[in-house]
Amino acid sequence: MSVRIVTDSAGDLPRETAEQLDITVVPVTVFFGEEAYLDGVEMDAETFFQRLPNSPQLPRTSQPSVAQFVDVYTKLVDEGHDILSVHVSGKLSGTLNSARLAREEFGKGNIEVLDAEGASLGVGLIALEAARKAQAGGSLDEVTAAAQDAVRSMRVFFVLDTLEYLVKGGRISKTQGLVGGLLNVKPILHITDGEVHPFQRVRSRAKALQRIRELVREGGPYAEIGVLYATDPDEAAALASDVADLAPGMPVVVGRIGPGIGAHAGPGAVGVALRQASPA
Amino acid sequence: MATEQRTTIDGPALRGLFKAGARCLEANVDAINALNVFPVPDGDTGINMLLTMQASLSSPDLEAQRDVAGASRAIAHGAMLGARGNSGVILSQFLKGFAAGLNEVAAGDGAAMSRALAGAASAGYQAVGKPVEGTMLSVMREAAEAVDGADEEPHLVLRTALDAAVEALARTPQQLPVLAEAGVVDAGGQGVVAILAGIVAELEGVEPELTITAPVGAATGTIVSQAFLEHAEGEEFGYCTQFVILGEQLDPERMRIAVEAVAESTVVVGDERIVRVHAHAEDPGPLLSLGAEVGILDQINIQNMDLQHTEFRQRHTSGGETANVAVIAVARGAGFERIFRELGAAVVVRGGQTMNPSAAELVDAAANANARHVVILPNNSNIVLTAQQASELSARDCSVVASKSMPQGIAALLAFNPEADAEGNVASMEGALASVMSGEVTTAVRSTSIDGVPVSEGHQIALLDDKLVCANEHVSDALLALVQAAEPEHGTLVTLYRGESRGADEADADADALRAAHPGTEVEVVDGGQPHYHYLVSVE
Repeated sequence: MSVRIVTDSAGDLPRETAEQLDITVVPVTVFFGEEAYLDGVEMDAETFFQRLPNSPQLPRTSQPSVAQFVDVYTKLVDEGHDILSVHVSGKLSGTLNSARLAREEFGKGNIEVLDAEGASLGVGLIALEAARKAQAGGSLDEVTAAAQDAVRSMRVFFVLDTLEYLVKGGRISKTQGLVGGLLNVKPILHITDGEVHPFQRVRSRAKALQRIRELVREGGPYAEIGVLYATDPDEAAALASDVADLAPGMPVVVGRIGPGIGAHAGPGAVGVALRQASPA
Repeated sequence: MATEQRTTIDGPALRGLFKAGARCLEANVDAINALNVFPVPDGDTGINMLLTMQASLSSPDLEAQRDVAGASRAIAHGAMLGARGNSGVILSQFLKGFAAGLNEVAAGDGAAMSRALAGAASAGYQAVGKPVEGTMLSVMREAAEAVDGADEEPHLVLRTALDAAVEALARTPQQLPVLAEAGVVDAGGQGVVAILAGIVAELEGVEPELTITAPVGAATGTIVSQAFLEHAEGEEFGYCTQFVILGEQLDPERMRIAVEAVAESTVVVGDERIVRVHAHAEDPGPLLSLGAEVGILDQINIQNMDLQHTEFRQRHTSGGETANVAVIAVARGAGFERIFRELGAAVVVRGGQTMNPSAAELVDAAANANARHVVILPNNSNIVLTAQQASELSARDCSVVASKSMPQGIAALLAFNPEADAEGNVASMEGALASVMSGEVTTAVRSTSIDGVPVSEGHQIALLDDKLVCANEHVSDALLALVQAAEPEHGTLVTLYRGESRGADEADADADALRAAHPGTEVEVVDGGQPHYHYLVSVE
């Protein structure tokens, strides 16, 4: 029985990449006021970030429904697949819960639900690695083990222009003193234990990007590197080209932050997802 | 007019002797302040030592002590809490060692005094990481060595010690070239001599005589008095009242006695034409009347310490969960205070150049920080030792990250992570200290020469990491030379913290000039609001 990978739109995988590896992406829902849009289906990143600064209220997000997962699982199981369903951290989103409930509700087939304990490409790269193992003919146990290894070896660092979105969305608890408007201080954040934590504060965005490059250099070599960005593709391309040599033989995955993550990261977010060569 | 000499010194006698020592220090406080090497308005050694001595004598347990051991312990305890500035901290350590030398002694003879002086010298050396000869440390040590093993009467032992201290003081310029170049003796050493001279004169029943040669062109006027007047904070309550009396045939000594009758924490210094008064009183009215009766009042500054204290407590103890690690920062200037708060300092203690907080103020701040571990950022080289003393005195678990300037302190605070443990935070904050160079542009308060560079009073001088870069007529030119000396590269960030003397437009023009001179360098202007310094600068 071949294995298929299911993930959610908070993984920020480029659409073509997901399609090439037969990864099914379940969209989260983004709300502007009462208007609801399926992430990446009814609203793409470009539209989202154009609308964001003009919106009188901050957008909210909602996890995929149990029914959305049941639909996806039903289709794949009916096609004769086992399923690894890997999702954004359960501490940041209820998506994982929906997936687990859907598995119980559905009650058929072989389905593993895994907490990626990360966000954005920190989830996407894990889904990607699992999908490669699946395409190579791995069993559900083998694919799941590979994904679990990838979870353990994943590091995510990112810098935000503003903490406003992350704080108002309740995705970070301790923020006091994290940013300084008087000194143009930018926070570098990372994801550990499935939660967003402050990592370091740096004077100016340029210095923050410089520091992220250093952090990538300090931690190599990598099995795979992802670069995630909200609004500046040139900045992301430059960052990707600067760190590409640290993951030999694997092109850097550049993923644009979609509406689901963008609602919490805000414009100007940029970062890296690093899958280390050997499990940490 | 020598009176009958004492053969031993008990508790009350020791108190009397130290009061005499403090009076002699007080009489010479301006002259000692003027003995600074850099012509910048800095920590004011005389004032710091005097406030420390006064704190030692206001120790609540002192009055009741009959034994010299108990009295010296009470004096040392008061000094430890009240220590301000590096010289005050070292003085407090001397007093701690002095008391250790008198342990269990009821009434000290000459031999006991010799042991006490040896204890003082040794404690002073232990307190300083890298002891330097040609400072108050070597003056104290030579005084102690001169009476090693002596068993004459106390007044003879202390006279010999004083004479040796005077000689050691005279040699300080030979030991420290910076003193020779500036044409001064060491200020802290001079303070030690002043205290010893007061003590010996009291024992001998004469008036103390002291010759202090102030450096040429020393500004003992406005700058020092300004510094003096800014010592507004203390642990007492009521009104911190400061003013200057201008007149003719004023009598500072009489004024001092009158002020002491109605106020606490008094410092009254001056001559027949100008007398400066600093005192803490429940009611400032009678104090002002005392001055108005004999002259014209000027520079009146009254602050309600109860209100300050209440606000402070309200701001910093308003409930909330106990943090794991909290940072206390010493800052000067409204802009800097805001920045340190914004970046997450739990308590900001006002202080800095010419206004060094006491160890007790920092201990109090640590107590008010609702955290299991407290990290202190002194942000001034003259506050580092005070902070270390406070961390030892504090009931809380304390560490000092020895930031020597506010820009360094900001770099350290940026590295603070409230989620990390104390050890990790101290390591990363200390690591961040070296990530910035700090500079300053200020006006020279007297003419001198530093590292072979002649400096004229009124010139703008630029210092980079405590080294003189240039002396120049214009602030803008001095700033350009300062940044040039830091050798900025592409991507270097230069932050100009403008002081209260530098307008926003002037600062923006200076920043533009820097950008033109160093393309590729980021220049930011921030309102620091600090006094005395046109600019504090960080280059990173």
